[in-house]
Amino acid sequence: MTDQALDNLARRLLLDAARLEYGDLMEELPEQDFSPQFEKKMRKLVRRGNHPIRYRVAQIAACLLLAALLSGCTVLAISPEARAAFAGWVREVYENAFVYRFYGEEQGESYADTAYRLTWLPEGYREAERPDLAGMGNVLYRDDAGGLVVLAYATDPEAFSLSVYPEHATVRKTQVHGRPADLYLDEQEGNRNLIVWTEEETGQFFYVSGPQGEDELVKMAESVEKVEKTAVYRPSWVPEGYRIIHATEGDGVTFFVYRDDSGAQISFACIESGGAVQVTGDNGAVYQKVRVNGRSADLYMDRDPEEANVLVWTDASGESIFSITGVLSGEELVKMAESLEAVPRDVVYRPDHVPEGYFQVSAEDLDGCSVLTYRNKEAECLTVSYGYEDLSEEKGTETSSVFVGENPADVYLDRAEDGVRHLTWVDGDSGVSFRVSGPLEGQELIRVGESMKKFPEPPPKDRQLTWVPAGYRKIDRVRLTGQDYVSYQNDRGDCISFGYRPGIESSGLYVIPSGEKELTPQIVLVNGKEADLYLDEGSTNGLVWTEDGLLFSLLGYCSAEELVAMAESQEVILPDHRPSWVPEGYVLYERSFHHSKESATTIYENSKGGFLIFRCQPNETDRPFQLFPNEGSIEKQVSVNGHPADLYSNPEPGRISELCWSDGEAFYYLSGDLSDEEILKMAGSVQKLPPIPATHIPTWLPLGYRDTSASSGLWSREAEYENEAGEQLQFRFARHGQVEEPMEECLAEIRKAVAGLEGQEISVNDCPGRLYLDGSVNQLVWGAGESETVYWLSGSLDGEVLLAIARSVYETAE
Amino acid sequence: MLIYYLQMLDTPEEKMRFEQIYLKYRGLMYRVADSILHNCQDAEDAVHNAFLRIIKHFKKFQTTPVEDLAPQVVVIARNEAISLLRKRKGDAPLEDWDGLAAPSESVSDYHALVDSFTRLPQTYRAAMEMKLLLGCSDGEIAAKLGLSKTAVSTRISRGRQLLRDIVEREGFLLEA
Repeated sequence: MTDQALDNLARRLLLDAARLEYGDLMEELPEQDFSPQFEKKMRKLVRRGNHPIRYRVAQIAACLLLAALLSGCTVLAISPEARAAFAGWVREVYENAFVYRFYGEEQGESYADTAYRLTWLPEGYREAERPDLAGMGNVLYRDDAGGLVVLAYATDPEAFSLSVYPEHATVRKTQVHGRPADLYLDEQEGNRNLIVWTEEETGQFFYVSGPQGEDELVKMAESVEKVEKTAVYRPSWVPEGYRIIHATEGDGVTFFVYRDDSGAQISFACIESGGAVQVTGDNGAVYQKVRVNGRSADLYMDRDPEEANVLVWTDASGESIFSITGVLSGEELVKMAESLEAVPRDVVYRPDHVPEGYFQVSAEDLDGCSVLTYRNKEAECLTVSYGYEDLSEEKGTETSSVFVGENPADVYLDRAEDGVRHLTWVDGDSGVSFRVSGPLEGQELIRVGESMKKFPEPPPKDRQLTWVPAGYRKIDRVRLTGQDYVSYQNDRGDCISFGYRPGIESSGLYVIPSGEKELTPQIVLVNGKEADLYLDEGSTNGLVWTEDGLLFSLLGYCSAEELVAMAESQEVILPDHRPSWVPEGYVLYERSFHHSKESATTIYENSKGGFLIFRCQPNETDRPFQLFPNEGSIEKQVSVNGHPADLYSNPEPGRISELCWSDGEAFYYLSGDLSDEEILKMAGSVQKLPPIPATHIPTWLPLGYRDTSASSGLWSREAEYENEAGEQLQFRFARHGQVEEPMEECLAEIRKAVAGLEGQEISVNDCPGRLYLDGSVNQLVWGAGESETVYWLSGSLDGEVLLAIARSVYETAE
Repeated sequence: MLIYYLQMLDTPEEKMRFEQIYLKYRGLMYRVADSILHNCQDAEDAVHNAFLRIIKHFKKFQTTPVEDLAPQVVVIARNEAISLLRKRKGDAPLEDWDGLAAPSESVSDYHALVDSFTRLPQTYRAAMEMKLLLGCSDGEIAAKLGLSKTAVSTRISRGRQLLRDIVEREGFLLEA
């Protein structure tokens, strides 16, 4: 008896044993309700496509050596317990490869529902395909020469990993939006390069690969934008002569109709999730399988050449069905199908011209349609609506066909409302439907329609007022239809609204008269440019001005001077350059700005009195920075994130090392009692972070006051302010530290200044204090418990104003 | 890791076949796993692992018609459940090989032989199933069952020897 025969018998026996034991269940084949978690896991297995991309340059790796966070912050020990406590992307370094994996649980927003695209591509490239791969999103961009750029991102971190085998590649660090990124440049001609990074806000993992060099790879990486899951799909190519005449979108169905001058029509439909397409014909059709972007598609060619043909296909996931119907050849149908692109839903349009006397009163999003409403003093309304919904209503009376630009349009009188006309059209390039309605003649409506301009997405940079009247604080920030609004409120409930949007001067205004009387703007100057000031007695006043291509508005119960001061104080909220890693035991102690916030200093301290100082000075400031290395320091040429740096290393314990470098955007300085490794690690972690306020200094001053001098050290700060009338204000801060003189000097001067004055007990930011009023120069002194710190304000200002200034002093930057 | 298994289903035909197997047998596999684990979540985990194993050894599932795959998927689900049970419990139950060997002396027909195989000690049967039905290596089996490779090898060889003894004694005809 051979072993093979015996094994064959054993196999039969084992299977028959299973039948004997579970025969009833095998007959029954029971159904089972599984948990959502199980269904989700199995969906990945059932629907997956090709294996995840391996970016291969050479042979596979051997053993695990070490792991490092993709963000470059911490070296993670190889222990399951350590990994269990951590959630994030890790780059594991093997002998000949790097492997990127996700450890831990997804936190925050799920990646499964997000898609991305590149908004900048090298010339000639366009989106070609979005193959559906398990655990990852994949976008392929091709040019006519066969070039390929790939954008990939993790949609299911647990199922995604990236292996990189950089045998002939140079591996180094670069940055994407100030975030550390890994760059793999293959030295062999014709091979592909790779950039890998994570997004700060979401922790999303990305890579871009292509034949391009570093600059273009970084540019593509920095152009990555989210594509809304509900983006509209439409063909980007149609046969010559065809223009879009109809667009419908809603309930999971998108429908476009194109027509040429002969009246021939092409229809495109996209049905999401669970839909079906029925193909019917009278004479029968010749069916054939074709390919759209490499995937199988069904082509039905009618035997009658004058009848429409149909192409039906699905996306890679099989969840969306597409169809094109038209009197087109198979090649034309496939070409149109392969030109499909995702168009984001969020478009912002605004008319550049509205008739005189009209001003905008609202902007709303209603059921997928954006509506701008304008009103004049006769309370007549003009509305501008746009969206992918069909906005053409049932035809009214006296319909006439016109053109809005090159787009065929209809003008008709409203059946119900006398004198109101509607103008409707579909933009041939974008497929967006428009309607302009109002008590206007057709030509006026057309003029409004032809002035419609598309605006880019809301300004990417948030802005803020750096000065508001005493007692006001920011309470809200909203973004609506391309406009930003920031609200401030005081304890009485009075509000100030600060708004801005892309716009031009002739656009409608935001100021609404409180009564029937007309508001005539007065001309004032904001930063030397004319602005419109609306004073509405007994009500809110308003200020409208333009700057940097934006239209600004301010509304509030404020005087004209206050409105102008606020307007002149508005600025972009710039991200901060700061280290994201500091050695254990150090906490952020102080934050200060210099030369009108051109440069900033951040100080960290530990419980033993040690300090670390980080300074960032943008290159534009053009101010020289002088460094005098500490005695005994050893000068070394090093590198910080690929940029040359000067390290003045002081190896003796307790001695200060210093590091200077520049990344092309700013100059950086770091000093402290740190080892070479620590100082380089801290420097390498510098990145753009949300801004934090200055500490231990007033962040609010009364109108008209400007700083005239300031000095700061580790244990004291001083500042002097003055207004146009020459009235002065002094501020001092001191704390106990390694050097006692600043605190003692400050306390001695306070005692001298308040000698003979009776102080009132007050509280400032939960700290005890005393207010001394002598009729000319008043003093306000407060401090932390147990006399660790002392703050002192003195000036010819009311006690209430001094208190307001005092309350704007932050003890901590957190 | 999932990444390594994904290579096995490259063609649409393979993916379709896998989906058919999944839809047809998932309930059955769950019941089998649950009969061992008596825990819904563990049973789902075992079923998920079983499908991963099917993917890994998919070539063995490509020739037999889907409707005839019930015993194979049952075997895989059961072994995954056993593997999970052993991991959860930590210590392995004492298996009585000698107790089995004695009754096998009374096997006189094929049905009795099949019946005796149902009473094989858990790891013996699992090791043979993984070796002979799935073509797993001793190392894989050892990792799955929490045994040493030597222990796996012992179980498989004992199982084969037991079968050989019975066949020779009872004069069963074997197919080559």
